[in-house]
Amino acid sequence: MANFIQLLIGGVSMGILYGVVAIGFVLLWQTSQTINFGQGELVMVPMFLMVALHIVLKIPFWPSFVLTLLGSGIMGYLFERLMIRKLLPGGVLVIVIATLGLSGFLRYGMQIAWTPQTLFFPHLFSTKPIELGDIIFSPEDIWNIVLISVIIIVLHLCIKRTKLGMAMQAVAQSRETAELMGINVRHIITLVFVLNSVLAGTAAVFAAPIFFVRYDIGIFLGVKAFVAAIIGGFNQIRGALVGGLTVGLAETFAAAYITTAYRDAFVMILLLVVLLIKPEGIVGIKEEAY
Amino acid sequence: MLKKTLISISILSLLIFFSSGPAAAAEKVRIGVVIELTGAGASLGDYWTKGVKYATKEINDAGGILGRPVEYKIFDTQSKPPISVSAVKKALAWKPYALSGPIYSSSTLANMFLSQEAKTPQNVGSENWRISTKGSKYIWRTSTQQGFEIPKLLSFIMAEKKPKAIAMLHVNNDYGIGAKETTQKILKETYNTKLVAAMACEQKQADYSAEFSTLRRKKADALFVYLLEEEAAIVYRQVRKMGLKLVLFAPNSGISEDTLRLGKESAEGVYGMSGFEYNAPEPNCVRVSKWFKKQYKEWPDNEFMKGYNSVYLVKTGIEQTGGFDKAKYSQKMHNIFITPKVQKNICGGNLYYDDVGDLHAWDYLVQVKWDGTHAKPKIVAALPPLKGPDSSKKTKWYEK
Amino acid sequence: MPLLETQKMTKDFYKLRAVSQLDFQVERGEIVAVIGPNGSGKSTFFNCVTHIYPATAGRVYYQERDITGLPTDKIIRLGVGRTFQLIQLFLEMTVFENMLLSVQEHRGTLLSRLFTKDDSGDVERAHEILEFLYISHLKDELASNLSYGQQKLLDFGMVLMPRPELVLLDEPTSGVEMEMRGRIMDYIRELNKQGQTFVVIEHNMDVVMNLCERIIVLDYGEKIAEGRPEEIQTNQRVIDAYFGVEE
Repeated sequence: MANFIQLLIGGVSMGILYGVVAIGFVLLWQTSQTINFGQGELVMVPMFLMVALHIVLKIPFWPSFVLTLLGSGIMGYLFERLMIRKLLPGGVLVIVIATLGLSGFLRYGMQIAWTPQTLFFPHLFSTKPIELGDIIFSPEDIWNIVLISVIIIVLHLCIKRTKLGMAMQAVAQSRETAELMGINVRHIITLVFVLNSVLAGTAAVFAAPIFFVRYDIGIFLGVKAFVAAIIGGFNQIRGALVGGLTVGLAETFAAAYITTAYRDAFVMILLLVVLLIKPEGIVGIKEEAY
Repeated sequence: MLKKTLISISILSLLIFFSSGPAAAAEKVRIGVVIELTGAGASLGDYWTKGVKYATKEINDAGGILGRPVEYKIFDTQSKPPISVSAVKKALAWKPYALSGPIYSSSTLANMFLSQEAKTPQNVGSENWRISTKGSKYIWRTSTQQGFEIPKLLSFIMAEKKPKAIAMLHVNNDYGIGAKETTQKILKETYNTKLVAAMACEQKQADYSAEFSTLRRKKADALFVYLLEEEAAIVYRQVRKMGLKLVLFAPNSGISEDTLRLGKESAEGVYGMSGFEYNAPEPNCVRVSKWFKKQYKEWPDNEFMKGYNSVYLVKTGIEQTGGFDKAKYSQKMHNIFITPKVQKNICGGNLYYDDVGDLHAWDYLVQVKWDGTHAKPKIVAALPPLKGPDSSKKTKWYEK
Repeated sequence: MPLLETQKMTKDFYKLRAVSQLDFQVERGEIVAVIGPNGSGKSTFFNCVTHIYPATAGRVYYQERDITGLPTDKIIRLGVGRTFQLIQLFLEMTVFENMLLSVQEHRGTLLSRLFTKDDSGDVERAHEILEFLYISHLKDELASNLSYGQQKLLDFGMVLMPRPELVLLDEPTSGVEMEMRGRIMDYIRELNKQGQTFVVIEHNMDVVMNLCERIIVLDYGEKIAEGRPEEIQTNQRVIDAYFGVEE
């Protein structure tokens, strides 16, 4: 039982990280029908930004964190204004190819401009393990789970309870109708790209002490989050979260109870099963065919 | 029509102008560097390439090899075995005298038949034991293979730490699986015991709670961390984070500069084996490391020395042959004892290459110490090679 | 100056000319009907005015301003409301949320909307309109759970929310039961008295003749007649267009 709870904590703390990146996929898909294959790089770049501010320039943690989020937001804004807006009329395939290209550019650009090495990042929280009877867990995992949950709840409230959130939902449900209601869909799309980048930036700060900082970490996180979004449901924010947790828990439990050798394979099998049985994802909603 | 012809002629003439003809090729000793420039091994590949670059400059400044300057060209394997095959093909099409790299065992195992076919010497950074069982006469290692490193490490751990239950984490590729097989074999044959758990881990894996739960269940008191640099550092951190009390020991990759730079204080106390580390008590390792530190403001990883040696091996072979015949080179470079007298700049002291291209050299048993700002491997003992002239020498203890 | 004016508006779909050289004017305070057989270009005309798709040629003026080529949402915010033949709703939101959404971009900046929920004035107005349309008891239902007629009413209500000066209605009474139809007509008249201008595409001749002061008839994208209801009823070209000409 103690073992099970420990695995649960480990799985959830990874899963929620995948989930928060996956939410970005869902937000973009819903509002602009774009799939951003540069999603992982939107995590990688803020990681380096955080290293630049916090480690190289030795700015204290919280100001660095805020500046990183600000930088992420600006990156998302430029990403939408300079690239997505021009390509959006070309359809999803054009966007996919363009974002793939951008991700390669950012990845190898970072490798050449900065370093191919993995960079150190300190723990954000105490590393002294907490023991509760047989259960031993690390405060870092708990803090990650709690803080990311808070961020997701705030995001959820913004979307469900504010006017702008309503407008986002409106755009997600029907762009045409939203336009006819006078909603400025272009503003909403820009806003969602900024929001997505900020979320990814947040994930970056929490992921950095766990993964360290490396130019190609984006592929790993991007793929995990993409798979999570598909497993959970690409058209539902809670789907992304469910998907992220499913991936995190599946990895951990498969590794613990079956074998560690094929932990990634189990996730892919899970993906296949979901695609065969419920292609819209665990909590996704079927989209009407156009 | 005229315009087209003109364009084709000018392109053709440009091509002829810029391509170095066979005459030019014969003037230089070409080394095709087939290396992990991108992908998971990029960091190691970067050290290796810097080593090649430095050695090339040194050799050329001193007049080249038998009067011919060294020229190298880099071919990226992207850290992937299939890509490494095409990289070696591209490199061979460039008609090099020798190849340098790759580091990843899976890549070397996939592409080594090409250098064998082309009868072109290939100096690799890989440590999987299978490489020397493939019968190639054109493959040399730049570090000792895991089959020699692991028994030395285990003999120390078993004698000094007397663990009751040893578990192992190994990277899920040829390098890691090879190590698991070797470890199991040695434990069974020499110590009549076995691993309580051997767990394969993925590259870029960041969460080890599943592995740790197994360690607890099996009551492991020692953990052999046979992972790549980054993952090893992550494991050290998580071991501390989860409050596990284990004797940690690791191969070269687990105590290399790249690992310790990331692991910092959590690497404290880890035992490991090291060949050419920057702090090895060997003049050439010290010399090139100091140069590196001055140049790049950090201590080099051992891959830097390995890349450096990969060029000096070519120099040694050509000088021993007295010419540029590759078949003779191959003959000369087997069962050869390279001492500082033979090649004064080569790192690592006395190097013995046996009949399959395996390197036998002194290894250093180290323990990581944290001094408040840096984690540094501190040498505990120097262990003689298993084969070659030095094998009869005794272990030198530095501290016990 | 008329409230809405189009000059030589033309829309081609490849080689098919859906709207041809259409000159059209609506004065403030009018209720105008646009009629014509199926495929005569009525809805296309609306779509060009609101820039759902761009007109091939011609210009559109609204409140003395050239709005040709402005994005749809901007035209809507200038005070044009419109409904479609096919109902446009946010099906996964409640009736009330739909009503509030229809007015939000008309208020406040991007930032202020990030922190506010809804303006009380809008809430009251939404209640009022829903009440009138007999669907206030459904306000917390998801729009997708409404019947076709109810959805139609909600759509109508949403268009009215921001008090648009000009309302373009595409078949507002089709699929709505008799009693409700009368009510919608009364409501349009009432709002018209308060100063709102209406252009209505309609098939139901009772509605057209009772409601509208002026009728424009389209056939194959061309304006074939324009006048008061009684003039149109007796116009030979209109009769031919509707019933065909015998060869």
